[in-house]
Amino acid sequence: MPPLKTLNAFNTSLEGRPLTVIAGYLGAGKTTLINRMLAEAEQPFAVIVNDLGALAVDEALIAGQQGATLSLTNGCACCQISADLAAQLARLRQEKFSALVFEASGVAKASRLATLTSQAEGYALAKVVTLVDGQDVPRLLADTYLSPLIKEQIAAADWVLQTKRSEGLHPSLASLSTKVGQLPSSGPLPAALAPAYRLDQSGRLEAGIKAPLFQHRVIFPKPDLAPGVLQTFITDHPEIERVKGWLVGPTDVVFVQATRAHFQAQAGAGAQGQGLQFIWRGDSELDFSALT
Amino acid sequence: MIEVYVAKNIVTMNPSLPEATAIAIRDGEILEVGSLESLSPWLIRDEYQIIERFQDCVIVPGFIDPHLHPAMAAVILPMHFITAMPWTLPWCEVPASLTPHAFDQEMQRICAAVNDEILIFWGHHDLWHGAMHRDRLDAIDADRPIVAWNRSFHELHMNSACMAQLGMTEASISGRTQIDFEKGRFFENGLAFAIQKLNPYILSDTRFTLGLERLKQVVHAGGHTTIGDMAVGLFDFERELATAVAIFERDDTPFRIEQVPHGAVITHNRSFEQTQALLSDLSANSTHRLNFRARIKLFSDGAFFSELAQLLSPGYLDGHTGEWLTAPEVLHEHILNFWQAGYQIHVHVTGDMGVEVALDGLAKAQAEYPRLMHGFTLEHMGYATPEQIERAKALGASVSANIYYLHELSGRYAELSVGYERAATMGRLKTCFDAGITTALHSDFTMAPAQPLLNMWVAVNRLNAQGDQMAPAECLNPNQALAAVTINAAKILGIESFTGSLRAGKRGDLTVLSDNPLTVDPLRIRDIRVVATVFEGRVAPIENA
Repeated sequence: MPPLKTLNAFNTSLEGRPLTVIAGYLGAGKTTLINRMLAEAEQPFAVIVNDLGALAVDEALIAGQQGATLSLTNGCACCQISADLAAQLARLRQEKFSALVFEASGVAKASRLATLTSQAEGYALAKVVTLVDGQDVPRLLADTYLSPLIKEQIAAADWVLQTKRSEGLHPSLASLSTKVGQLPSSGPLPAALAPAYRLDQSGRLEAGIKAPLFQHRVIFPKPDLAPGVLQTFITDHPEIERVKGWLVGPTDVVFVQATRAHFQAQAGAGAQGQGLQFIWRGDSELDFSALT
Repeated sequence: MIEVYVAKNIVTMNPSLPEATAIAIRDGEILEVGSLESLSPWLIRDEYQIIERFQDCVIVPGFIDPHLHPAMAAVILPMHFITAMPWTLPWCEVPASLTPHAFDQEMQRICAAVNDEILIFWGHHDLWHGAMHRDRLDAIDADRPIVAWNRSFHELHMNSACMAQLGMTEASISGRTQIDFEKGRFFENGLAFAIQKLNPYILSDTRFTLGLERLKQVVHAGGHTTIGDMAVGLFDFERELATAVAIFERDDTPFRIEQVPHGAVITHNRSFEQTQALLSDLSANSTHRLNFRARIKLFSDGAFFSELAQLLSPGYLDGHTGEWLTAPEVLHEHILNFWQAGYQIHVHVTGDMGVEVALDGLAKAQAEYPRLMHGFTLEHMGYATPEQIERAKALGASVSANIYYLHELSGRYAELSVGYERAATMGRLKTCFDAGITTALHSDFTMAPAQPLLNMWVAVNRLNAQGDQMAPAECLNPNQALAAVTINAAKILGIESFTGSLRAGKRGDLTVLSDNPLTVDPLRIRDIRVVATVFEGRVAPIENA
């Protein structure tokens, strides 16, 4: 007889690592977003994918396979008798991931996920983010089978992000929620997503992502700006958490990735983009005149 | 050696020769169903033995429950039952406890009699047993961990010792929804938290094995010779498979289990080709009693008991909506894949919108790749409209219904959930029979007791728990109800070629009853006793029958 999946059910510490739920119907871009979050993250975070019913299994698409998949097969509480959720959370607690991102199944109601994940021991629900495909939203809202679900996912989210549409927010989305924004199709993610899984220097968590603690801006540095100048600028401004982008030199383009602990300038990365993205803590402005 | 069973009456469910008085079985196979006289051409050619022990009984085809969940049963059956309704369990008689005092007394009695690590009582119901509270459980025993699980299964209470043993403190619980620390109460999502803590205990090997051993007794006591595990992999595919072989593939198991894999689990992280390869492998490696075949279980909408069935307009009284277990377009893709590969597809549908999506999928599949005799089955079918039933017939679908919903829930759902009309017509089975749809009954055990005679009684009388008859126009006649737990149930599982009725060439699967369900007062159908079963020609008596 195979052994029971090992569980650590008696671990009662409630450290409150942030748990972010990414909801949204099939094709809304959840996996793409999580891959972008993984690419930008400095601290590893865990991903749990709940897509058991899906055909193209998102888990396989998640870069780096940091996570795990679990099944929450329906809304019936008695169906929670499964070793999976407890075992996976216990394992993730052991591995000391700084944060947990939960990719919801496309048909999950956002409100139910919020209540359900509030039971995840050792994690504290930070935010439910619902993605909506801005091209597909008229069809979804007209679909008898799906319209109540889509509306619920939008209404119950802390934040709604439109994807796949560049020509502004779809009017029907704007009418359904006041908390709608656009997910940029490329470039750095909105700061409110990124810092959710970063530890501060003392190893403590920042205050979650509910409060707008971070600001971000893209600047266009003056030509020939030396990487050393940028590095000094970062050192002089301890509130800066993250810089990423390109410096255009006379002969080459330098790709820069920087955090408080780490500065990397890589020449010859090709002219893939322009501009430098800054993310900083607090609500005061930064003076970028030394760079632009 | 031929064994000839004689009985007061044999109901064959073979329409050409519906009644008989003797049945001859050799090597597990039925040679003939008829009378001692008609059997003589067989009997003069071989040794035979006439078995008279059932001569005052009625023999029907071995009962088939095409849809239950052994893994779920294995969790609940080791618990101590204290219930408002009396339960006859093979290992104990559970008396009716109708007052708070009676409930407490039962807890005390069991507490003194057993030494479980955590005492789990199941069956508490506020209406009879009064409000539960941590203090009340502490008063039963302050030192031993105790859990009182609600009849609905969606709520439980713990005493202080239990919370301490599971490491629950006010701090670790504060801020969680649907948990009341003071009362020791965990419900709905809060229950999920409690279950996470209890999992290592309720899913431990010892208890899980005990639970399956008890399920074996329950299945036998219900008079079954075949059951369908309608979602292998509900908890843990590998483990369920291995334990099932260890516990059921034994000579003392008087029934077979038809295994239908959980579609979402079996396709997970596999291409369709890989899934098919795995399923072919499982079918090829089936044992005598445990069989995989080209069958799959898929899911449309949410749980009926949780009011998460997806409803067409006008929806629920309170305006809430149901849930999808699978996105409609994904369900359609699964249906098409398995359809083209020739599978018999079973789709869990509870609400009429769930039915609609499943039928849309079937219609697409039929348009693309027409099939006959495909056995596509709507499972549960709590709510369905007459027009959907007509459409299901046109598309060749079958129905396997949980009619117990009507008994347990229709009174309450009329007031609180969907209004009288739809509550009264849940389980629209006469319409199915009239349309000529292959229609079966199942228990979905542990959602309903695994007692085919009880389900027949509900289908024939349509009486709810409050004693009101709901939509009498949908009552089945006793013959239809018996078909629904025998030959039709066999068709639902795709095994009608060898069981489900009594005729030459089928396996000797019989259920021996104390009375004839076709002629007894319909209100007495559930009082008929199951005396014994015969599984492939081997008698398995039922103790205390």
